[in-house]
Amino acid sequence: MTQPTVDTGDALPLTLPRLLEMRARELGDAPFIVVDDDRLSYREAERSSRVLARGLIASGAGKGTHVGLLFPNGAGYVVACLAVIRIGAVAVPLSTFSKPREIAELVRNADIDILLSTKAHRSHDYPQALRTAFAELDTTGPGALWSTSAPTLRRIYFDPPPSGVHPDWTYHALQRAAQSVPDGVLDAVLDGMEADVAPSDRMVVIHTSGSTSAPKGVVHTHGALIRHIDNLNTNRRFDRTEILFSNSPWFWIGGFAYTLLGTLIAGARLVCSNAQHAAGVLDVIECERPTMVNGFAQSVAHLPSDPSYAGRDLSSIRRGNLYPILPRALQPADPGLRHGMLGMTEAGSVCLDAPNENDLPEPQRGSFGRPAPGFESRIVDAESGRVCPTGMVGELQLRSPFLMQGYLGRERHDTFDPDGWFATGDLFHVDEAGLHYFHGRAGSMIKTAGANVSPREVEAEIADITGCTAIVIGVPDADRGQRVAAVVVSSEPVDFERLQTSLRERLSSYKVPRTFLHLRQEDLPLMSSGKCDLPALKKLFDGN
Amino acid sequence: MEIENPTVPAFLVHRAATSGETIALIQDETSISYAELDRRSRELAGRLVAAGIGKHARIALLAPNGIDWAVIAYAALRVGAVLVPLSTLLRPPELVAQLRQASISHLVASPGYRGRNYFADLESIVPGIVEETNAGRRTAALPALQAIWAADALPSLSARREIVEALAESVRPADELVILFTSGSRSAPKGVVHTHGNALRAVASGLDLRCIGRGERLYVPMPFFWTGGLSAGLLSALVAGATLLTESDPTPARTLAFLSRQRVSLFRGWPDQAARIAADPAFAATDLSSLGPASLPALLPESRRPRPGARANIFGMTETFGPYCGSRLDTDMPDDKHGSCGRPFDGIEVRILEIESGAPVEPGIQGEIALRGPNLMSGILGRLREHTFTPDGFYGTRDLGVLDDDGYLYFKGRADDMFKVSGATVYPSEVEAALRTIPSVAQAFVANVRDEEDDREVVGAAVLCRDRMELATLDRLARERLSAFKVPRRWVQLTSLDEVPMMTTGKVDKHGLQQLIAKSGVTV
Repeated sequence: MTQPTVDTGDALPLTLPRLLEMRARELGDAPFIVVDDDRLSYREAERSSRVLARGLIASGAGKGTHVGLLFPNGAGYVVACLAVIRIGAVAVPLSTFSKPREIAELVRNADIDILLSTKAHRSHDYPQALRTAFAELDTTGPGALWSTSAPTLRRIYFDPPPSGVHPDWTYHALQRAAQSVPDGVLDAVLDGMEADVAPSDRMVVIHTSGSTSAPKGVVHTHGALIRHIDNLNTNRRFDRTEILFSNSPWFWIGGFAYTLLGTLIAGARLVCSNAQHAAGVLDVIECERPTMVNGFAQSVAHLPSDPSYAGRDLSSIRRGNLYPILPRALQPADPGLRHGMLGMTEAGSVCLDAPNENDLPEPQRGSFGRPAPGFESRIVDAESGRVCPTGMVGELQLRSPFLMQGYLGRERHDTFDPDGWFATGDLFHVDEAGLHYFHGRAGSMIKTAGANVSPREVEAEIADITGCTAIVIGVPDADRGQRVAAVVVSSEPVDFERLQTSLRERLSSYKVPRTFLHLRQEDLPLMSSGKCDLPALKKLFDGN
Repeated sequence: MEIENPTVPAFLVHRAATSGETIALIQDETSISYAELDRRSRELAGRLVAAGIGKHARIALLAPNGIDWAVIAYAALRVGAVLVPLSTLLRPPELVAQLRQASISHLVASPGYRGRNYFADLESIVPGIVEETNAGRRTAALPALQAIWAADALPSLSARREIVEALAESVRPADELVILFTSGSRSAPKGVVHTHGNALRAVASGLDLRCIGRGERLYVPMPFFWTGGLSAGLLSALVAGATLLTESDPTPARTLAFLSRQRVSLFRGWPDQAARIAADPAFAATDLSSLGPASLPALLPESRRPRPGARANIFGMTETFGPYCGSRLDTDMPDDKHGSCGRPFDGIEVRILEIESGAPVEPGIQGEIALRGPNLMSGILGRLREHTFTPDGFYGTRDLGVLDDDGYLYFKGRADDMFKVSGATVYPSEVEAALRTIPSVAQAFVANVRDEEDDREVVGAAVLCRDRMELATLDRLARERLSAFKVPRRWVQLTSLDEVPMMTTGKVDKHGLQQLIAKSGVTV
């Protein structure tokens, strides 16, 4: 059953240490996560995180300590994350894509005291990156970090130990600290610290990916996030009988909350792969036989074109939104007739969806469903500040006990209005049935010759005509203020004249792009988050 | 406010730069200037950082008012630690409970105060705790606690000044400033959490009405570990650039001499504190001509005393970090507003809600006072937001009040204290106020008690009379002033205020009062 408030007096544990203890006790050796060759059962997750938690406690961490995590999806991430959170410290997962300058910025803004980091991932050498980020960092000998550019950061612990790095900067130092205290005492202290974690305590700071502004640290508390994800699990019937495949990175909200925490709450099994080649990912899926697949379709879009794909047995997959790898019989004929979902870091992942995996009637094409349990929504006109009537496009505002506690370092009244509403910056309209329809980012609305154009609407039409992804933006125009411009992403050249003619038949003339640009997928400017870099895209139009 | 993004570290630096020579704090015969306060707190902050105190760490401070209290508190705050002031009156089990409740990592305690030894107190509940903790070992009883330091023996190794300054600059208005423990007359202590921004704005919002400006010499006989001393005293002085005067061990006679010698210009505190000082034999001969008109009336010469009720009954609570409602204290309110608490300050919105339904009521109707706004606390330790605030952000104070058409607030007692007699609601504060208008009644305390014979709730009263009165006379005078159902049925005549059971917080112990009236009372 879904619940509209955090505390309902039911059996759901409202803090992570309680939840972990319960799942380890109930599920024991059942697999919790499988990441390529990395496997961790529920019991192992509890035991390994207990060992690390003891090291953290003996090294001075506790409530109020902000611990950064720099790991790709895998056992190392899970153990570090659980260890930090179970002692009441605040976990701050950092994107493994981050460049040194970005790491320095995140560490400073999130008040990180301790950083737990992997040694290397893909092309990243983290000891090297961190030395670049913090000029004062010297990992060749013992000591602590004293840096004016990151005044809170005192310790970094690498695992596995990188070569040339002194043991004081590795997990070895944590183990040594724990060994100085008798086991029985440390376990009793850990039990006490876990008991003192309250559902209202901060659990995690997740950063927004920063597509339209600098990344913001979003604070979620134990009780609200656990209850919200439990509600979402109920709606998608995600329980311990399921094996979920998802390649969402765990340092962002979708991976952290909807996927990883969701799996722990469900007591299910989570499968993912860091393999760089399609065949490696397919090996994992074929071998681990997931029942559900979830995440961003782009993360698996390359799999079907792998030569080995045709001979693969992916028949275990029964449902999910990664349509490219669903068995053919389960693939929707028209994905536009499936409910979309709206998720955002501030809402602890999904906030609009529908517990419905079937095709919608045509009038509901493009629907994002209704507010998640415990969420109120309203559509507000940006200019008047008034609530919009049914059908009118305006900004989506949300209110819920499950929304973020706030942005780290920003006051509540700068984030929520006095009545507790959070303005999402996303444009929506709501139909008579209460279903929500997306119209793009509020800031992305193009104002051309006095009229508003929703990029999303134009993008959908271009996609429908050409079958290609399109990105529609406003570029400066001396006469019209802004001019509608479209980037069409395709490996083949596009006949823009024909496209423009087709668009004129479907759209009011002011909505039809006046400028077009053709880009191949590999030429599309992206940010480290994988999202499209809109400012860079706008610059491409300067010369054309 | 003089600072756009208010934080305590920013204010310390600002004061040192703009009022460096001004005396910040006088403790008995010792004083410290703002420049010196800035220097000493920065120096100690470096030592705290070197000893492992980080941003967001929770530091408990257990010490009497004084310069040391201020230096230690400001040192912790300027590196972003969260200050948890503890009452010097806590009994040992309460002390351990609050250290646990707030997950204190570092405790700084006065080595001894008024015969108390806090280290021995801790040991009496958790044997071996001081030695274990200071040897770097944590204990299961207080799992978060990493260090116990005597206030006069703090660690000496220091971090570099640049690190301390970088940490100070990292403190933002949204960061937590303080967790203040407060207790209602019946509930368990709760930890009220304030941020730098909300607390400093709350302080600043009342300074003008409280007549605290630069150069003011302010005497506040309230402990720094509660809202009164911290907000209306220490931080009011910092934000205003005023001088705060405090005594480590006040008695009425000593305080009178201190006020006179130090030329105190403003005396604020609880009215009974002023009354006690005015009752001292030395009062008449003491020169208090320096006291400004906004001081508590009991200490002003007869000719300068406002009529009762003419000045706002300035009103606040721990959740609002001190006063949130008032009117200029050196000016009488309009005649028709006498007896009110004045109007809410900027940053706090007041709404009166019907007790049962929670719906807003019309002006003039009594209900529960609910508050919201950017100057309100950020929350209560360990309590879910959904259990603290309504979805639209209001905090129900459990105080009863009325807002009039002009936005003046009238306080009507505690919702928790109200009770029903034969189906009608009685507000103890209303009955107490009525009884105090009887000329010979100096003080009155009212609570519900069980009438064993009739097996029902009745109104009980404990009164302190200037001369002993006949019960029948008291009953008759009360009947002239109150509806029949509000008139006390069971009376106790006190011979001294010391008979009234008080809690360590200075509030009346409701349960003890009920027992007193039940046991020693006489039924009319």
